[in-house]
Amino acid sequence: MKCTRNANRGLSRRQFIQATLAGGAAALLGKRASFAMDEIAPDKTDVWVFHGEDKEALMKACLRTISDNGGFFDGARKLTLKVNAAWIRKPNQGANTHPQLVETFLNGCKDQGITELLLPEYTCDKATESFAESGILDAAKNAGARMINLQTDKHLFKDVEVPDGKNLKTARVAVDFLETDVLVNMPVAKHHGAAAMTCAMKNWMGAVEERGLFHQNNLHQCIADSCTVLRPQWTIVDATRIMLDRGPKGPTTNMNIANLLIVSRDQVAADAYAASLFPDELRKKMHFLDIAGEMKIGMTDLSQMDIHRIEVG
Amino acid sequence: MNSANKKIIRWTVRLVLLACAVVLAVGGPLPIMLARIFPSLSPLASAGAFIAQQRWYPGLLWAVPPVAMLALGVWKGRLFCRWICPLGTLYALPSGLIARKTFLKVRPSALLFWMIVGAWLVGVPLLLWLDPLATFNRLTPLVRGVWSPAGLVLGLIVPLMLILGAIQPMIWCTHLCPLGYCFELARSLRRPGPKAAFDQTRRSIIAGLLAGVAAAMASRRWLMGEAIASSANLPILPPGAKNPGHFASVCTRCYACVNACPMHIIQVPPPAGRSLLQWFQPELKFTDSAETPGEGYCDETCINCSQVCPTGAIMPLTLRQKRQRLIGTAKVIRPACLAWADNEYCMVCQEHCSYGAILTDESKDYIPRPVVNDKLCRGCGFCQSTCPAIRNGKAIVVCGINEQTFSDDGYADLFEYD
Repeated sequence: MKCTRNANRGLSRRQFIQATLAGGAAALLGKRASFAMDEIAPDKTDVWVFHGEDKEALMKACLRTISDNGGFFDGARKLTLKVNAAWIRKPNQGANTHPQLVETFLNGCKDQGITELLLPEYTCDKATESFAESGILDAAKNAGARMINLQTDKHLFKDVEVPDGKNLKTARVAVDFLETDVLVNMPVAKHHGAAAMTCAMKNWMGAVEERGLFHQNNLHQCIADSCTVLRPQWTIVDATRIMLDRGPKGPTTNMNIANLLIVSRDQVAADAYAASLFPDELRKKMHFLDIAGEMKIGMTDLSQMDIHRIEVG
Repeated sequence: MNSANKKIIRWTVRLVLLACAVVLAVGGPLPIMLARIFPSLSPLASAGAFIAQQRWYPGLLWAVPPVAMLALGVWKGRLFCRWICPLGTLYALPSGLIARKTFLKVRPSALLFWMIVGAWLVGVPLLLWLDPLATFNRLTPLVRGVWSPAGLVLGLIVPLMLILGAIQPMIWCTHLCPLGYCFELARSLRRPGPKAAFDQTRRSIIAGLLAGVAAAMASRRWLMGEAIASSANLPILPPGAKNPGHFASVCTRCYACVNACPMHIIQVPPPAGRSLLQWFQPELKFTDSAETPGEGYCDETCINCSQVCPTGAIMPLTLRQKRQRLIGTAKVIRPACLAWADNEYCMVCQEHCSYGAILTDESKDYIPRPVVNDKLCRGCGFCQSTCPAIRNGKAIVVCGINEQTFSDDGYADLFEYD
C-alpha cells in the first residue's frame, strides 16, 4: 500500500486500498508486472544499501535498482522530489542532500519518461542562500528541474486532513507534494537535536508550513503522523556523510563518511536502516521510529527486511 | 557661455546627481557598498569619524571623496553646495516659492560648525546628524518602505527646511548648514574676506568651540557612561559597532544600514529608555512573531551594514570576522520554553543556531532542553526569531552587550572563505 497517486488524498481508506489495487492490476497488464506482484504480495520489505565513493555511480546504481523493481509507473509525467536544502551549508558539510546525487537522480528520471521535475522546499535558513550554497539549485538547473521557494510562495501550501494522525489532525502541506504522479523523498541522514536523527520521515517537515505545531504537540508523534499523509513511492537516503553531532545545521565536529545510499519503497524502513548507522545512545532517542512501527506506517525491524548490500565501483 | 545655458547645465547636473544619490542609497542590483558614496562625500562627517576612531579606518580609497570635496572647497568655495549636494538641490526646488524675505538674519552655521570642531577637540563627535548628506540619506528608507516612525523624526528637518525655504530662499544652505560653512571657510583660506566678517567669525569660533568642548565633555561624562552603564536595557547594535557610547556619537543617523539590511532588522526605536546621545540611532530588532523562517535575525552570511556605514560607526567586517563578532547574548526563559515548561521535544533554537551555541540538557527524563553556551553565542537572534513558543512569548531572547568583541572559539575556521 505504499504507492498511489498522491492526488488521491482525501479518499477514504477503503477507496484508497481499492485504488491502489486497481493501480496494481493495471500495472500487471503492462510491462511492470514485478512491481504489481510485489505490491500485492510483499513478503519482506526490500532495502537496498549501496556503498561506494563515487556519488554519480551510486545514484546510477540506485536508478537501475529502482527501474528493475517497478520504477515509477507507466504514464508518470510529473515527479516531485523532497530534498533537504534547508541550510546555508556547503555540500561537504553534510547538512543538505548532496547536489551530485540530486543531479544524477533528476537526469535519470528524465530517462524514465518524467517530463516535469519539481523540488519544493521550505527551508530553515534563508531560502535563496540555502538553495545556492547547498549546490542543489545548480543541480536542478542543470537537469532542467525547478526548485520552488516555499518561503516566498506561501500560497502553495494547502490544508490537508491527517485522518490517521494522533496529534496532527490537519497540516498545511505544499500542494506539489500532494498533487503529483510520483513522489520521491531524498533526505540526508544526520544528527538532530530534538529528534536524535533527521532522515526520511523528519524530512517532511520541510514540506509543511506550520512547523511550530509539531514542536508544540510532541514532535516524535507529529513526525510519524505526517508520514501517514506524505508517503513517497521511493525513498533514497543520502548517507554518504553523516553528521553525528551538532545537527541538523552543523558544522559538525564528528562526521561519519559512510559512503552509503539507502533505497527503499518504505521510508520508515529506510530510516530504520539509517538509524543503525548512529551510536546506540542516539538510536534509543529516535522515538518517532518506534511510534511509526507501532502505527504500522512502515517496517522498523531490520530482521524483517530484505537488505540488499551492493558494492558500487 | 551665457548664463541661461549655464543654468540649464547646472540644473541638469544637480538633478542627475540627486537621482544618483537616491538610486545608490536605495540600492537594488548595484553593489551594496556604493550606498556609501554620497554620505562619505562630507569632510565634516569623515573628519568627525576620524577623530572618534583615532585612526583613518576606511582605507585610502574612501579618503578620496571627502578630501576631494574639501579641495574643491578651497578652490571654489560653495561649488559643492551649488552643483553636487543632493539636499541642496532638494532645498533649491521650492526656493522662494512663497516669499523672498530674510527673517533669519544671523547665521548659526558658523556656530554649529565650531561646536562640532570643539567636540572633536575632546574626541567626541557631536551633532553629526546635522550633516546634510546624512540628512538626505536619512529619508531614503521611505523609498524602500523600511522606515519606522521614530526613524522619521530626525528626517523632519527636511520638510521643515523646505517650508522655511519657500519663505526665505535656501535658508538651510546659507544660514544653517555647518558643511556649507566649512566650504566657505576652506575658500577663505585662499581669499580672506573683509575684516568685519572675520570679527563675526571670531565670535563664532570662540563661542562655538567653548560650547562644543563643554557639550562633548558633558556627554562623555554622563551620556556615554549612561549608555553603557544601564546594562538592563543595552541596545543590540549592528555587527561592527564598538560599544553603545561610541556608536551613539559616531553614527550620523544616515540610516544607510537600515536600507542595506536584507532582513529589515535594523530599525530606529523610539527614544524611550535611551540616553539623549542615543536618540534615533539604528538598532537591531529581532522578530517576535511566531513563525517566519529566514526572517528577523542577523544572518551569518551578511555584512551589508558594515559595508555601507560611511563613518565607521559600524566598522567594515569580513565574512570571517562577521562570524566571530559578538553582538549580544541569548538567554533562555525557562517558564516560557516548550522543552523546559511543557516537556516537549523542541530544540528549534539549537537546530537553527549557526554557531553551535545551544547546548542540550538531558539530565531529567532524557527530554532535550536548551542551555545557552555564552562562550559561543554571538547574539545573532536566529534562535529568538524561530522560537515556536507562543503561550508566554519567546522563550529565548537576545540581550545587548557592553562591548562588541571577536570570539576566538575557532568556529569561523570551519568555513571556507573566498
